[in-house]
Amino acid sequence: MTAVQLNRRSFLSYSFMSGALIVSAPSLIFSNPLNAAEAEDDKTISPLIQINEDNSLVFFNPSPDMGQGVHTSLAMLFIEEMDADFDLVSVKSLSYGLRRNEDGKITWKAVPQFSGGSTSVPRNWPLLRQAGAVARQLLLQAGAKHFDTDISKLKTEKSYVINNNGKRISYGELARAAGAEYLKKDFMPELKNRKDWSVIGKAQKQKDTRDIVTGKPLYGMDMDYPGAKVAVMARSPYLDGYVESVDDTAARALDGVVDIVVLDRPDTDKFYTYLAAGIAVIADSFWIALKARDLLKITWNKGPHSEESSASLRQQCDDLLKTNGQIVRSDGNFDMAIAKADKIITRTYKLPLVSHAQLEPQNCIAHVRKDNVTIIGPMQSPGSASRLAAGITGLDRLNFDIRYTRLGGGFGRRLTSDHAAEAVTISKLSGLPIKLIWTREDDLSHDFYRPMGHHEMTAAFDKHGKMTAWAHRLAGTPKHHRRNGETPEEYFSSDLYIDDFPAGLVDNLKVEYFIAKSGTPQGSWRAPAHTANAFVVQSFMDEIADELDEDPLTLRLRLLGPAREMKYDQHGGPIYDTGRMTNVLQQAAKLAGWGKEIPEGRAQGIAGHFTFGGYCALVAEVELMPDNQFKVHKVSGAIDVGIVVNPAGVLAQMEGGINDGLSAALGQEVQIEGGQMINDNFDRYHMMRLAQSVPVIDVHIVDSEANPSGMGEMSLPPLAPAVTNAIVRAGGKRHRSHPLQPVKL
Amino acid sequence: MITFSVNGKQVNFDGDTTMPLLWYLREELKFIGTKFGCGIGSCGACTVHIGQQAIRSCSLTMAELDGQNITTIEGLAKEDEELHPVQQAWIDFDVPQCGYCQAGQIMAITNFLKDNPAPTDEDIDEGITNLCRCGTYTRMRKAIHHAAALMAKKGA
Repeated sequence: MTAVQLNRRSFLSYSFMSGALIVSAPSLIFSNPLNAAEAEDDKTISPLIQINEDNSLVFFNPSPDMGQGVHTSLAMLFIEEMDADFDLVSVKSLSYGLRRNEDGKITWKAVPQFSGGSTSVPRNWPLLRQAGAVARQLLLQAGAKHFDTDISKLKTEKSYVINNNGKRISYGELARAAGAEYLKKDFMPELKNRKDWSVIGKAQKQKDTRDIVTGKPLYGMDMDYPGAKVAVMARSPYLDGYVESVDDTAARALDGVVDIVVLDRPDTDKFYTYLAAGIAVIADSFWIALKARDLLKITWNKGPHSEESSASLRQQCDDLLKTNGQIVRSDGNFDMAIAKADKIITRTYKLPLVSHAQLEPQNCIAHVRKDNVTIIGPMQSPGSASRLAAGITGLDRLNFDIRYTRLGGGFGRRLTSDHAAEAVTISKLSGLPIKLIWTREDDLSHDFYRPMGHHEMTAAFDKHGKMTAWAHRLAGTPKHHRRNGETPEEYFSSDLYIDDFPAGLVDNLKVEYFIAKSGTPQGSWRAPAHTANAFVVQSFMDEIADELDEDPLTLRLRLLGPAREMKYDQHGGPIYDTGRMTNVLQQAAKLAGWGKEIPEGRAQGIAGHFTFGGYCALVAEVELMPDNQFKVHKVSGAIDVGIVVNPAGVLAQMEGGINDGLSAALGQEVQIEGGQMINDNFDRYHMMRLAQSVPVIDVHIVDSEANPSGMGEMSLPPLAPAVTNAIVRAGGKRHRSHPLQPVKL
Repeated sequence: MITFSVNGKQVNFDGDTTMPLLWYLREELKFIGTKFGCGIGSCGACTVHIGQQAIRSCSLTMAELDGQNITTIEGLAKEDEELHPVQQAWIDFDVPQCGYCQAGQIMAITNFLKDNPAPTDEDIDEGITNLCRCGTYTRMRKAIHHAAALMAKKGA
C-alpha cells in the first residue's frame, strides 16, 4: 500500500469541456506541497483524464510514444487505480506544460514529460497510479451523493460505481457531479493490492494500432499548421563547416520559393545541441523547396575536421590505447594481481559509429511570434526543445505552445532537439510559420551518432581458475563531448558504466578511459553505451571460457556467485542484483535447451546484460553459411524488469530489441571520409530487412515483485554477443568488431 | 494534363511532372498515410498500389501516371467498412511499434499476397523488403501467414 498526502480539493482541477469532466493532474502529489491558498489559484494544472458523458475516456499521456508502447502502458497505470474500463480508453499526447514554482523556477506543470533511458514506466509508476486513485475517489464521492448513501457501501468496477443493492451508475454519468466534489483535507489515496489488479499485468494491445494501419495522421511529418511553409536545409556537409558564399539567384527565381535564409553555426558552448550551419530554402511545398535547394551554389568552408575519417578515428584509438588514460575506477591492486597471475587473457574489440536511422526523418513545425513560440513535432524531450527555443528567441518559455506527436522512431535521436531548434531559427529569421523536413540524406549525415571506440579487455586468473584481475580500457569518441558544462574528466560516464559486471566481483579491477577527438556529433542511441559494453564484456566472457575450457554459462554463473545486491551508482541503480542476473541467464538457458541437442549444423551462444534497471539474457541459435555468412534461426530470452505492467509490451520490446540489435551488428557503420559522412542513404547504410530477421523468438518473462524498470532498451545489448558467441561455437570465426557483415561501398 | 485516379476518385494534374507521386499524395491530396522514408525507393514506407503492382511512390514521377489507378493505405478499406485482412491481422497480432513503416508494409504485403496466397517463409523473405527499424519483422511474418489464412477462408 502506498499512500500520499493530499490536502484539499484544490490539488485537483476539474473543468468541463464539451460535456466532459477533465480530471487534472494533482501537481502537488508530484512536487513540493504548496499551501492551500496558492493552490486555489493554481492555473498550472494539466489534464490527465477526460471522462465523457458516454462513458468513454481519454487519457493524456505525459511521455512521448516512439514505439516503446507508453501510450498503452502509462494509461494502464492510471486506469487500474481509477478502476475504469480499459477498452473505453483512447490516448492522446499531453500538451507540454510548465509552471513557475514558489522559487520562481520553471518546473513541470503536472508530471515530467519526457521519453528516454527507459524511464517512463518507473517514473510514472507511483505518479499515475496515485492520480488514478484520486479520480476514483471523486467519482465515489459523487456516487455516494447520487445513491444517497455512504462511500463505504459503494464499490467501483470497469467505469461504474456500484451500490451494495446492485444499482450502478457510469463514470460518464457521474462526471459532472464528480467535478464539484472536494477531497477531504487529509485524504490519502490508497493503491490497490497486486492481487486486485485487473489491468496491470494483463496483456493489452497497443492503443494506436488501428490508426496506424489505416494511415491516420499521427506523426510530426503528418501535421499541418495554418499558413506553414515548407523549409528544407542545405547543411554543411563538413563537420563544423560553414557557408563561405552562396549564389541563390536561380533558387529564388523558382516559382513557389518564398524565402531563403542563412543559418550561422550556433555557439556550441551556448547550446548543447549541435546544429550544422547552412541555408534554408522556404517554399510552398517540399518538392519545390528540394528543387530550389539543388539550385543553390554554395561554397563551403570545410571547417576544422576536413581530414577526419573512419580510418583516422580508428588510428587515434589504437594510438591512445598505447598510452595511459584516465583511471575511472580502481579496486585493489591490478598491477600486482597481474604480476602474480597464472593466466592472463587480453582481447581488443572495436565498435563503429552508428546512426539512429529512425524511419521518420527529422521534421518539425515552428512558429515564432512576437511574444510566443509554437513547436509541433516528434520529440522525446520537449523540454530541450523549449529551452532551445527560449535561447534562440529570448522569449519566456513558460507559455510556449509545444506539442509532441507520435514519433516514427526515437531510439534516442529525438532526445536532441536540434530539429526543433532549426525550425525555430528558420521561423524567426523568416517571420513565417515553418514546417521543416529533413531528407534521409540530411538525417543520416547530421545525426548524433552512437560513439565509436576500441575496448581493450584483460582478465587474469590464478591456477585454480579464480578471476583475480579485470581491466577495461576504452578509447573512443565521447557521447558528451559537446555537452554544456561537462568537463572532459566527466566524459567517461556516458561511455563506461563503472559498476557494470564484473565490477565488485573481482578484487583487482581497473577501468581506464581515453578521449578520441572527433568532429562528429555524438548522442544517445537505444541503450547507449550498453550496446558496446555488452558486446565487449559478453564476447570476452566466452573467450575466457574457451581459454579455461569451461562452459560459457557455467563461467558466468561462477563469476556472478551467490545472489547479492551490489551498489550501482549510474543510471539503472542504485542496486545491481547478481541473483536476478543469474536467474535470467538460467531461465534463458532452460528455455533454449542449453547443452541439449539442437538441429544439426547449429550452435548456441549466450549473453546477459543489465541495462537501466532491467536484466536480460539471450541465447542465439546460429547456423554457419558459406562465405563467412551465418543465419540466426532462433533467439530464446529471459527478461526481468520487475513488476510487468504490460506483458504484451514486454514481449514486443523483446522481439524488437533483438531484431534491432541484429540489424545494428550485421551491417551498420557510419563511414566518415574527408570530414563528411558518406553512406547517407539506405542503399549504402545497411539496415536489416525481414529476410535476415530472427524467425523464432521465445521469451520468458520473470515474475517479479520488484518495482518496474522500463523495457525499451534491455533486450538489445545482449543480442550481438549471443550471436557472435554462437558463431564461434558453431566453428566460425570470433568477431571482435562490428559490422559483422561489412559492406564495401 | 495527366489524368488518373486515387482511391477511386479521378484527379487531373497539370503541374510539375518531375515531382514524385509521394509528394502529390501527401501535400496535395493530404493522403498522409503514405510515408516519406528515404526518397530513393529503398525503405518502402511510401508503397502504394498502382493497378496490380506495389510501387514505391517516392520514385515514380507524375509523368508516369496517366490513366493509372492508384490506391493508398486510406483506400485499402473504405471508411467504416471491414478492414483488409492484413490490416486486421496487424491489429490481432499487435504488430506495429513506432508504426511509421507499417502502412507501406501493409501495402506491400496486400499486393504480395495476391500473387502468393499461401506464402512460405522463403517467399516472404524474398517478397517483402520494406525496412522496419523497430524490428517488428518476427511479428510481421506471423501476421502475414495469419492474413493469408484469413484471406483463403474468405475466398473459400
